[in-house]
Amino acid sequence: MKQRKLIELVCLLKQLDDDLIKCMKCGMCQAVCPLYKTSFMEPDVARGKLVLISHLVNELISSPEKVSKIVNKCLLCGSCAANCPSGVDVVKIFLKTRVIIAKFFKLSFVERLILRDIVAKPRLFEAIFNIAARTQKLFVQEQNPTLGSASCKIPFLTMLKDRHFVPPKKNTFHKQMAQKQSISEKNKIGIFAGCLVDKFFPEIGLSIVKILDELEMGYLVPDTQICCGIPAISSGDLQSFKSMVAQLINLYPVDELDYIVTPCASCTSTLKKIWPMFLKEFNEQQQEKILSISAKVMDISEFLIQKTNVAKKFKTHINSEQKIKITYHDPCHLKKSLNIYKEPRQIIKLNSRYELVEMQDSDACCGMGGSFNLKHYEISKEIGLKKLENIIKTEAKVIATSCPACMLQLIDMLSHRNVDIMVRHPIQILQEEKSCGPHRKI
Amino acid sequence: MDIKLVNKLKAILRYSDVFTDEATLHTYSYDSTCLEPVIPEVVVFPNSQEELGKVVRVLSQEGYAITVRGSGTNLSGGTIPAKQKGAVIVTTRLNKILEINLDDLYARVEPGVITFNLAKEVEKYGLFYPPDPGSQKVSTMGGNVAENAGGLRGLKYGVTGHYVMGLTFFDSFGELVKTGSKTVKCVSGYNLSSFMVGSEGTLGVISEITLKLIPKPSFAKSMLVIFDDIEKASFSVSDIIRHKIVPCTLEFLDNFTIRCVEQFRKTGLPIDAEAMLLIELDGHKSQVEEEFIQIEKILKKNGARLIKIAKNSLEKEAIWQARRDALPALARIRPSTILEDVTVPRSKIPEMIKAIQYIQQKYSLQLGIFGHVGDGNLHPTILTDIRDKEEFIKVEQAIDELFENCLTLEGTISGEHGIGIAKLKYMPKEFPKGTLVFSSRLKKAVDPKNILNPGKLVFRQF
Repeated sequence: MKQRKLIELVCLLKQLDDDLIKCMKCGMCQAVCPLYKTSFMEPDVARGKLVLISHLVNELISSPEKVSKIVNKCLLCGSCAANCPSGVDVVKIFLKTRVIIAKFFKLSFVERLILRDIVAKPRLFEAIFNIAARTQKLFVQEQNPTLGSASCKIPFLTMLKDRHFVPPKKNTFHKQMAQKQSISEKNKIGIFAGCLVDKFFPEIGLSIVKILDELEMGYLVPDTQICCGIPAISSGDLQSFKSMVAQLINLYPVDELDYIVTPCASCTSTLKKIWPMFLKEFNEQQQEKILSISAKVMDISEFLIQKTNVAKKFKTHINSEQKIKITYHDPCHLKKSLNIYKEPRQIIKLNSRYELVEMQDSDACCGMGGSFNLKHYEISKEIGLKKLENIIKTEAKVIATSCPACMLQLIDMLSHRNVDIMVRHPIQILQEEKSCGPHRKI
Repeated sequence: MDIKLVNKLKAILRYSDVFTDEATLHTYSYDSTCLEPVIPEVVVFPNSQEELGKVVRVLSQEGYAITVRGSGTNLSGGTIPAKQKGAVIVTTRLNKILEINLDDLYARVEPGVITFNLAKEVEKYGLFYPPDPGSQKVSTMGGNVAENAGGLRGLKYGVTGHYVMGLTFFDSFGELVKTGSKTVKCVSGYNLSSFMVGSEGTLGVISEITLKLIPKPSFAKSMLVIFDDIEKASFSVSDIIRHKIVPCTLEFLDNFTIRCVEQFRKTGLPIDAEAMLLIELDGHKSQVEEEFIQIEKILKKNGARLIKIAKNSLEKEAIWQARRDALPALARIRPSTILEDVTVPRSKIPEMIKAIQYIQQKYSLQLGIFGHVGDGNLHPTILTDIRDKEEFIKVEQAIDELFENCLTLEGTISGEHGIGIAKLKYMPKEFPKGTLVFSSRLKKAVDPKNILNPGKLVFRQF
């Protein structure tokens, strides 16, 4: 890198100095970092990355290219931050560094194409998925019917590698909801499904709707699905992030809504934590909306337990002799980022047909990390397989988790090992109780 | 970079185990000490004891200064590489527990095994590995032996060194040395295991450790005690021991630390309390219960304001959470945290605390004291901002004065953090010339080329 450019980079990174200085280099992050546990190398753990950024700031490093690679190789699971003795806001530092670095090392062609030209343009994004959903028979073969997983027949789609994925659905959640809007006078709940639920798991969205109907609550599902911005900001693409957020904040009549609920841990965490981190990038009017949405967003389980009488209405007392064992995986973006871990379990326990058994390290990262999985599939798989072992050990028939991204990863892992354990969202477990009656067999 | 060396190393290790790129080297330039980083020239990751030996031999032949590093959490600069021709050997991948022997009560481990993992593993068999340094969840056994790590249980169970039965290590030429035995008694030859314990990587490269295990106590009970007066608290500590009761843990928090912890966790700790003691007894149930009653009497007699006994595991957990919170709570007050570990004979604790308080006021610093008061090991923790040069000069003066006071009270400048680079300059204050000369002669005889972690713990010339 040219000297002049390097100086410019250092100047921009200096704004992080007050956050960086808090790291006392105790190294406790090594105990919890899923990536470190695969390599036992300092560049993989938060301390190593933080030192590299501060060495860049202090002009001790002359070639930032490798630093950029190292900082980008992180799941952003926040395990380090949640366990940091001195409270370093690691995720904020890494995201801001990625944004600054992206100004100097251009995004790859594929990243730019996907983020700027597709995901940031909701209509095009949807059209592409629509085509994919309709033509998938041509290039997809079924893998495991219990899990609903499939793999790619055509070798040229190298990005998919040997993944066992969930094919996109023709009928997205928001399309299915187009005819069915309900805004009661009493409660007004906005539903933000998130891209993955909308396109891959619309049934989770439908479960929410049925539960809200049952609770006689009014809700609103916008007629478009817009990305929360996490894929963009994780790649340091501030431009696409801003475009996504700017579109999304106009999608909801925020002032008329009491809450906005989401079934996606990553979306919840993005709206609540990451949006405010980048507040200064938006104009005053947008800032107001961002803060207002951010304050009203709740995880669906958290919302149901804290704000509704779901516990009374849904609690059943069926003394079935053979309860179905179910275990719960804590998504990083829910437990570590937002400290939500009780409510999803409470939701599951409302369905008395199930017996909740805890797995070892239920809050260990599943290895998905969004784009991390796309860029470092082998490492992601290694971390995911450790999770799988802990799930299998519980002998559960169902694994529930509050994040569709984790669900995709778990399905991939289970399908590769050909294990018949169903992957569900806690909301589906709750809604199953109401819709299927007590004698439905799994 | 020395291409010849790199090629030799790559012939021993996998291509991906040898690093010479700028970014990776920078991530091995520091440990947990507040010191200037030093960038090594090469970093290597051996995957077996055999590879470790070969690497030591090559580095020795090429005259590289070897700094062995586990998780890099030590607090005296012991794993900061040498300034010239520095090579770092990282042992984190040598992490196998080789044997847990239930008949002869020992464990054999590789140096990269994490302390906490070993403790958890032996517990499955009803056994106990007591040393529990603050960093136990990440620290490695090799590092624990090299630094002779302590912990909360020091008072009753001692420190790492008390559990080392035997070792294998590579000397400065890469020759394999075996010392100690799997037997309880062993007087064959020099006690080289003790020689290696606390040697901070200056005498050899540890490749395997045999550790003593003991049966796990069947019962434990904890209490939290509040005092309005520090002196009464520290007198109680001595009084408990005078009554021939040895708790497994006896921890102390001062008022500043109590206030920080309360602000951090909000569990209703009395913020006006001058001192808090956390006590745990373990052993057979009847004995523990009996001693507990005795302790309660002693504490009441000595004017404890409040005694809270944990009735169940949840309450016990809450009591120890306060202790675990001490460092995190303090660390959040200012950007930088300097953790010291002055240690004095138990009976001198009140005087030492008074001295620390005096120093704190003299230099007007933000300072909290907590620590293992049962074994005289205090952690005065200075909160500062290393970017504030003016304040940092005061911090350094305060630390100098802290050590002077500690030595006057017949204590030692380091109870468990080690000497490394950070405290080397204070060594002549603690020991007579003879000790330092003897140490440097020893070092010279064992490591004539001065390639084993040079610049740490011992003076080359004295």
